[in-house]
Amino acid sequence: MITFNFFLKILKKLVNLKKKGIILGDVIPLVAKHHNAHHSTRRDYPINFKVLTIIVFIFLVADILILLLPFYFNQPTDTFMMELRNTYLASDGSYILLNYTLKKLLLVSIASCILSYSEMKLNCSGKINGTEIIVFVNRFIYSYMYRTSNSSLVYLNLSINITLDKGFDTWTGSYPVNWKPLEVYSFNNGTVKVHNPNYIPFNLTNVQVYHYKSIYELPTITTLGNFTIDPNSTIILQADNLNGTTYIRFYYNYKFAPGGVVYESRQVSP
Amino acid sequence: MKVDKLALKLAIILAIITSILGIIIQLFPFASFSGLINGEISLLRYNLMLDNENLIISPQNTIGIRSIYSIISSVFLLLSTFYLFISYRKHKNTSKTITANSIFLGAAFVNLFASTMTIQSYSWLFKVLKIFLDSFQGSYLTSAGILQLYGFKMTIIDIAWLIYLNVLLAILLIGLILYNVIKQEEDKEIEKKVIEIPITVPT
Repeated sequence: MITFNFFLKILKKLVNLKKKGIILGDVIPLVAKHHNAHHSTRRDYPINFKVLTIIVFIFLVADILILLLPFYFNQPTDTFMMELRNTYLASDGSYILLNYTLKKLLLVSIASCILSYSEMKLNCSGKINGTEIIVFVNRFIYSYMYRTSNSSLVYLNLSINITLDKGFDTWTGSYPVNWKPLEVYSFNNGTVKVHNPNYIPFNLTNVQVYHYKSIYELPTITTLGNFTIDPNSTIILQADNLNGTTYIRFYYNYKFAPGGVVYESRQVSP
Repeated sequence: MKVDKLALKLAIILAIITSILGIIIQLFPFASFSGLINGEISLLRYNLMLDNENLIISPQNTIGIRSIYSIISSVFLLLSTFYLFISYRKHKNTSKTITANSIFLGAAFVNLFASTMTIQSYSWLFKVLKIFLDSFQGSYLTSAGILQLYGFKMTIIDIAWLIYLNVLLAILLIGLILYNVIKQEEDKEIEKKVIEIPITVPT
């Protein structure tokens, strides 16, 4: 309020002086009009308006020019990046690989790693290899999955928390696990190749070689026994005697087959 | 011409304060960062480091240019104050004091322009900083999951009140100078009126 009054007072005085022609451009003051004895000049003013105008004009122009300068700023777009390039469950199911594209970030450690299916949760371990993470899968979970699954296609879930040098990353992914029957390939040289594409071992029971010398004779049966085929591995069953007709026959449990058992009988003779 | 010495002294003191304050405002690092981003920000310049790389907020650095203008105006006011002081000490009531007065008033006006510009620059810089720095904190959904950055700690010393104080001082300074000008004019008028009154000698 005091400041306002102060300026109001100054304004009034300025208006008053203007009316008298003292400021704002009158070269000859009023006094000189009435009294020739007193000869006043422009230098009598306490302000040189020429200098004042030049200064204010120069700076005002500069001020306007600066205010007209465009103001842009960089929106940081390529600062940090973490993208999952690819991830897959290894063909033998022993590990899960996560491959990342990183920018200005480094993988430091795995803070937590959980594999889960249905109600089962298993802690897992892993290792960092540059921009890759390898998570080791405990095979126990596959047995559980096979035992409890109602469908031949199930999903293994992975929740991983990765510590980075400038933060952390949480990721949850699902990996399909397809329970397939064994792949059986027979050859006419007396061999049968059995491949287990699953992540759990399968047992072949009562593997027998049936040898028919002729259709009028009973076969000679040779029992080879039981075999276990490890995950993603192959075994070869061999019949020795190839005179006549030879078959290799076996059973294995596969819960998604009718009856839960698969019977295979393959001719291996030429 | 008589000069209101108190007003003049006050104006000189005020000019020195406002010009020094103006320079301090431009140079003072009002925001400092630690953590993911390290560095400091003042109106004149910024030095922000992200992963040992300089962060460029604005390639043109418009605020820096504005800041230079403000510093120049403050220095100009400071120099004009010294010039005014010297001219009143050495050359009393000459054309030099009139010129010094004019430069002083001009510098005061310029200082006021610059001070008001600083208010805009300051608020602008804050807005931009908020948008810019938001990119470095919070969480992002990427194909790799939810990426959460550690972020940074920002310490801000709010100098808005200093800027407003500087504007107020700049206005007061102009008021004081104008008051001095008017005072001188009024005194001059009184002097002239005294001369005008004819001396009547009783016969």
